[in-house]
Amino acid sequence: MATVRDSMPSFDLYQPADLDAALALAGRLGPAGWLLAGGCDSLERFKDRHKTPKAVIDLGGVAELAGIRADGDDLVIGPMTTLTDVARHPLVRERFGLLARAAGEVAAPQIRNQGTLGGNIAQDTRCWYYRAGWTCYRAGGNLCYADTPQGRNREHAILGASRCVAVSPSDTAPALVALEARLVIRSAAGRREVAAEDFFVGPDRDITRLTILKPGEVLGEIRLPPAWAGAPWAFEKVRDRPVWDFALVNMAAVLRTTGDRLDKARVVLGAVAARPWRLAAIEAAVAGRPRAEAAALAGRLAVAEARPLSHNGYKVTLAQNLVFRAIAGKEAA
Amino acid sequence: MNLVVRGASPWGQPIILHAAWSLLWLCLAGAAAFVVVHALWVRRRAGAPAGPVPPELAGAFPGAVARHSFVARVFHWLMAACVLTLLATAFSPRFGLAFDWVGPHVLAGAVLVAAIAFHIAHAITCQDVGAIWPVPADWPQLRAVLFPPRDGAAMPRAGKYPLGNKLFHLGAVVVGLTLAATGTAMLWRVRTPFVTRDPYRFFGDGGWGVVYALHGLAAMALAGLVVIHIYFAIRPEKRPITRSMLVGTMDRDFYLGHHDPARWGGEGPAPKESAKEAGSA
Repeated sequence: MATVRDSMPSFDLYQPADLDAALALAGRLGPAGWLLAGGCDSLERFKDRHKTPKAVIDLGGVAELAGIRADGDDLVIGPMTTLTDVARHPLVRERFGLLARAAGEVAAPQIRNQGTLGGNIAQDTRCWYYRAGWTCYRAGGNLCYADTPQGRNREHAILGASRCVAVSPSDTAPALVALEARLVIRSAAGRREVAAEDFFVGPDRDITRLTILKPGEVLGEIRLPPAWAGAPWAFEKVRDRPVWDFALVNMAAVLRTTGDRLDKARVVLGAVAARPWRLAAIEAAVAGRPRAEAAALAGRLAVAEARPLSHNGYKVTLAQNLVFRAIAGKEAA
Repeated sequence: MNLVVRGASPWGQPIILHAAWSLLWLCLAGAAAFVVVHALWVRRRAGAPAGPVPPELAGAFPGAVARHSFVARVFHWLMAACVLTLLATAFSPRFGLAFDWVGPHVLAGAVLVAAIAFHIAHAITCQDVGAIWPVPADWPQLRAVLFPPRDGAAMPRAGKYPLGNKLFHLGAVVVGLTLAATGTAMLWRVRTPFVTRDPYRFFGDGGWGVVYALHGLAAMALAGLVVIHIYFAIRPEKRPITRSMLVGTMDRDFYLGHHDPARWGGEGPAPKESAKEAGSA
């Protein structure tokens, strides 16, 4: 499919000034209304004419959706808060350094100044076949072009694939899952709150979406409970170049230790599946073990169920090493 | 309304992607309309009596006339379980129920294909394979449905299978074999324990689109057929036939009232000679 980059097709632009107006618009427009956060990805897709929405709801003017504040013991982050603000905010850095680091690793300073936390976790996959406009499974077709004998799939999934092998490109999503964040979803009908882990979906459950957000719904808040505030953490992102690139594999972990013993951990991998891949079995296996032993065990078992494709076997070793380093404390803050 | 959803191949050629899923509602609505119209029609029509039972025949057949062998009944209910599983796994996600449906769908489909292959072999070798196909001798049944007999005349009697059964089976054969053939081919498109995945083994993008479209269209037709089949299974006047699919036999009076011993003398040992003579009289 040819990519046209001269100008984007026209659409009706709505710029609500408050959340109620945004929700009313989202409810009224339904699937025809495209929610625009920072626009880093959306505008590119409009110009490429791979997405041609009839209406765009720009959330940039909705003050309720931006900012960082304490709410009791929780830290509440508005989804329209820029990644730069998340990475630099003193409360985030003090309590949840993992999220600050993850946000600071996204793309490049220019992108982080414009891109938002909500946009980063809700963004679509970067699979180049899908992005090229091919009618693959995720686009409503009947084939995954990446998972063919001729497919180029070095950046695709090694875990959780079900027909589609695209991955979630978000750096902040694994951090939010590790920190047991809760996401508040708003709509004209009301609000619902879900664990970050349940916010993301794999192709086995829904092959056309990466999140549970439905038409008419808006991500309202990202709430970080105190459970892991101030805990040691680890975050590593491996990419082809040190800036402006998506992860080949990223890893977010938070740990509770007593001396040399690892009491509890939450370890989440990114860019290995269509959703942040929590290693719950590893967490259970390493709890209560001496740290060195736990690290060796975790590294060995980290992605035992992985099914690499023709060009991404390296991700298995990469993930194993990242998990080992996180548990062993090589990157712990 | 379109039958299929179209897209483009990577080379920009227009291709079929799959069936238009909105047709499911049409199939279900059609089946529901058939059920309602039939139920009203049955209530309004004057019920023609079953044929009289000649006394000499009553003594020629056991109280419970064998209709379906154990193997045939196991196949039927296994197929029913597979079909319901396949329909549920295929269409529940379209109603918004999100779950990992591919595995159960493929497994049920594989079992169904194996069961169909067994059924064909069993029917050819162990059963009267011709009994299930519509034949000219069934014409009086159709005529009696369209123009019910008057003056208390009896309804014409069927062979082993009433014409309605035969027509349903014919539809199920067409739809089922389409699903089995396309579904088997589609095993090469997903990762399963059965075959090594090779998505371009048989067809190009356009050819596969036709396969997916046929699979989807047949599946939606099957959903409608299943609704109609279940409706007839629970109708009061059909319950002896349904019961025979559970226990294998039907009551002698029902048999002699609705079936023609000259065309079907029951399964198992042949009836007494007098029965044959009376039946053909």
